[in-house]
Amino acid sequence: MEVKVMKNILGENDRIAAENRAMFQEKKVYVLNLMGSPGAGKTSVLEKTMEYLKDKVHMAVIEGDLFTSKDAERIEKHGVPVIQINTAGGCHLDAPMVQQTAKDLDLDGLDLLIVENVGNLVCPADFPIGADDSAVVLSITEGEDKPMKYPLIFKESSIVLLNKVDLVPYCNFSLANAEEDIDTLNPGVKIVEVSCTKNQGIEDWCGWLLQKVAEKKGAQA
Amino acid sequence: MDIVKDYAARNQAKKVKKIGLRIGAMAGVVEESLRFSFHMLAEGTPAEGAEIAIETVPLTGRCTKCGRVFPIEGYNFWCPDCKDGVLKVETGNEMQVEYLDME
Repeated sequence: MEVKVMKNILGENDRIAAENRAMFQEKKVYVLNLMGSPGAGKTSVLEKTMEYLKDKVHMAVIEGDLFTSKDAERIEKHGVPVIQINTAGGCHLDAPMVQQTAKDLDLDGLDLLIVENVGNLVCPADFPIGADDSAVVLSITEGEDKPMKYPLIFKESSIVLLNKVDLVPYCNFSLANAEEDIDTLNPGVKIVEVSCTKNQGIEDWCGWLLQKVAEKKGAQA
Repeated sequence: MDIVKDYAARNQAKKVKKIGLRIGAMAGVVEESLRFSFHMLAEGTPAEGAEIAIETVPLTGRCTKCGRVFPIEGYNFWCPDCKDGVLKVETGNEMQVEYLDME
């Protein structure tokens, strides 16, 4: 006998992501899913973000890595509450992991929660965690062809940070080509050219974040 | 597998003969890997040896300006007609169990 099912295979993750979204909505916390390759500069961008924002908004960080708490230790130095998730092999964070970890955070009075996902340009895009927006960090040294090679993560992001732009003169990377490809995948997406070492683009990126936080606070439940 | 087991139990089925899947072109699923992994996972379960039939759903988008639906080529999400309209994905993200053939 044939039985009609019509059920989403990843439905369970979607369901828990929706629960997360509702919880963060109730507490008016703006949540950003920060993605990018290993070494793109996600944690460095976070460090610069904290320098700029930690006295302006109450923020916390959830760090995702296979192993070690190296990233959480870097965040801790800035005095921002941080919890490290070790997936011990899992290549992405999923909604249940974030739900479990968020229980240990004081969400009351929190304005901004940044979840730094596992370094990976593939899987994180397929597993919503209940964030308001996703951001992807691509560094110049990875090559201008990466957006077209990994379309989903660029398409799903609300903002793209092109990091290490100070290295453009030393690499075969055309900002124009990369930005055109990104715009083809995600028409009109905001692209910020960033250099953490040279403090470029950070203000523009943080301005965008602050606006998002303010919109979340002002939005009706 | 959870969906298959759940529906087999609900329908008191002893064996699942065929699993019909709808997989979107942009869902990021590698068909061979899915078949291989499921085959291993299904051993010793009512779904052991089940045939997996995959309907691939093409990637299409509806233009936010003109409202027409177009196939999306080369991951270009600009409307081919309006030029400044954006194609919002209409089909191509699916990852569903569509039906089960059981006894």
